[in-house]
Amino acid sequence: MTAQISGEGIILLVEDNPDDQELTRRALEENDIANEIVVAHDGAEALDYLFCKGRWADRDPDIQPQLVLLDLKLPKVDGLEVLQRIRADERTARLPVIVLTSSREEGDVAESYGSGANSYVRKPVDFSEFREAVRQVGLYWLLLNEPPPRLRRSP
Amino acid sequence: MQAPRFIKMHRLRWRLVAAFVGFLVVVVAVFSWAAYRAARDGAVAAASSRLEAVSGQLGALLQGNITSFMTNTADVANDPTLRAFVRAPSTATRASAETLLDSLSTSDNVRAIEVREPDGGVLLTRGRAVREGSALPALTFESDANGPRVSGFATYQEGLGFGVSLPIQAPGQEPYTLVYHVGLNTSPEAVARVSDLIGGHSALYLGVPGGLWTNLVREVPGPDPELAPPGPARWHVNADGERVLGAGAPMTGTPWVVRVEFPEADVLATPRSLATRLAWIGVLTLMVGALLAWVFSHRITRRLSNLSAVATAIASGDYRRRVVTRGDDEITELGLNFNAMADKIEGAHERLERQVASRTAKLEAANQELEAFSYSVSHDLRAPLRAIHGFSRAVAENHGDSLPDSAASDLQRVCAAAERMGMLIDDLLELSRLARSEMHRQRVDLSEIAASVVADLHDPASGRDVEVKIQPDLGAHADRRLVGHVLGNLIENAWKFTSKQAQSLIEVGWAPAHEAFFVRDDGAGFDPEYVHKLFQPFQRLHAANEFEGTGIGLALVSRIIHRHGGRVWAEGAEGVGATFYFTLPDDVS
Repeated sequence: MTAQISGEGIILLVEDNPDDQELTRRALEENDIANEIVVAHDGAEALDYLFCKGRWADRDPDIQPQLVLLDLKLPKVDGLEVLQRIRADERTARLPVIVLTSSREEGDVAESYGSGANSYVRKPVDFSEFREAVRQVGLYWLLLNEPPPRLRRSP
Repeated sequence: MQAPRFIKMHRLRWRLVAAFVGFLVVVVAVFSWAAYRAARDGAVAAASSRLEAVSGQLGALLQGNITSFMTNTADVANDPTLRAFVRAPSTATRASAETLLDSLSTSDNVRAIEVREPDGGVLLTRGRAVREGSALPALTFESDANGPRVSGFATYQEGLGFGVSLPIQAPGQEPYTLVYHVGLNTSPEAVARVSDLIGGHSALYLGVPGGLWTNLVREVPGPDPELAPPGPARWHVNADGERVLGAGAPMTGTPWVVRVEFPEADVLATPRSLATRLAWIGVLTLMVGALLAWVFSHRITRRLSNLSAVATAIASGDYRRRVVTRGDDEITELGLNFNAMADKIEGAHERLERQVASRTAKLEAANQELEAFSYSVSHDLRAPLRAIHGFSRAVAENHGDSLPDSAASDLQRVCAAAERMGMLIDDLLELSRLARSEMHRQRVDLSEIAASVVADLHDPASGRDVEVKIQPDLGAHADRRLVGHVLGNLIENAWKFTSKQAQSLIEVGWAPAHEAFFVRDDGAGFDPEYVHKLFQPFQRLHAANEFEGTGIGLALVSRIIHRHGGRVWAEGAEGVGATFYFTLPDDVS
């Protein structure tokens, strides 16, 4: 396995299905990705977290996640809208957002990139494949990739 | 189909005019010809009767002259002095006869008087010719005539003349004859009278057939010997090469014939001027007729063109256009019926549009529903599968050691089933996506696509001996991506179902007998009894452990071929191989 991936950044996992939450969590864990994982169960909660509202009103707005794993099919506010709102707001416009979804519809892929997704990853049924996908995503976006300056945590 | 244009209308317009003008030409020509013929026949008949009148009058004119001589001569012939002289010629009787003859030959016309013996010898000659010492011509008379006889013309010093002879009655003796030599009366007045009578350009002949001829002024060459005898009016060409109408009439009491010839130009002057006038009238009639026909035909064809323009507009989709109808003729009726038809078409079209719109809306709704369904299948069916697979794997990995072997094997089966269901869902989605995706038809080279499919399949490591024959230049007008799916599925199938034999042959080509493309292999084949199940989704004719697959490939092929308006079918037998045929018609339905 690879070296322990730095646990500095927060991973925001926007996923309504508890099984998928658990599987993603396990996949990250098994790949030794020890970053803090914040789970939003629907689009509205994800926006609350990002913009420090509702349950997350007391959160430090300077701290933004290092990576957002976004499902498309979500209750209340769907994934595409969440993505659009992220890109529309100056505070979150440069957040790396990875669309992680079951859909392989061309329309979904196109709209996701059109709305500013950084990557589009399809969740495979096979857990081994899923784990590998999560590993590569984590390796790239958390370790290899230099995040935009403003997202860096102040020391 | 393209609506007919107006070219034919123009043709009809000119055809009407041409037909009417043609009719006029025929009518004018027939009438003109008939009129000219009638006028010409009339002119010839008039000329003929004029000829008869001329010869009759001329005869009468000369006859009087001759008859007065004859009466005179008859008296002289019976004179006792002459009788005495011929009975007993002596100096005394001769002197008395000479005195008598001298008194008779004082007239200007009489040139000489002779007393002739029965054998023709001249017994006594008196008169101007004798005094002047000029010779007298020989005269011939018809020998069998009894009574006064007239000779043909003869030439005298002063001009033409003729003789009149009478027997001197002396009983018991051969007849002596008294012969007058008479000059022809050629006074300018007489000539002018005759000239007036026959017309300036006409020719007059007076004479005896075979003898001398005169035109009353001087001696002239006679007419054609064939025409010299008296005869009815007929056409011939004279010595000057002109066509003339001539007739001859006998002159009673003489051997003379009067012949008059009118030049063709004179006879036909009237019919010809009539013909000229008829020609002008004909031309005028034609011009007026053509103008009227054009106006009439234009009025008809303009309305027809109008109708045609409206029909064209309707044909190109402007269903509101109608014909403006005026008048009460057949074209108006046609226009009214046309408008009624257009009303129906417009109504039907509107109904159809509404139906299409409503069905399109329904179809779109159904499509959206289907799309939503597919989307939800894609997401919602896969999520639990992922959980089943993921957690089964987790149990197997995390607690494998403490599980009995049978439980580990069962978990393996759970994972395999989940994977398989994932594939089925993916294939199902692919099927519905292909059915909905847009088609872009273009020229595609099936040979090239097949070759690239084969290249992808070929794996030297497999150690398989597969011969692939691809017929070159298999072209079609189709969606390149979809045809790629078709060939991919068919060739992959062929590859798959030949995998259990040492050597195999796969062919891709065109079957002229079926007019279809084909993909053939000599692999496992199939039972023809179940051929109808081949193209249905998730139907498989082989056990899953024999040949892998979801059973969606041929359903995809079938759907794509049908979207192209083509047909797909299969032939084969178990253990022999399979051939898949498909058509890709060029025209989009």
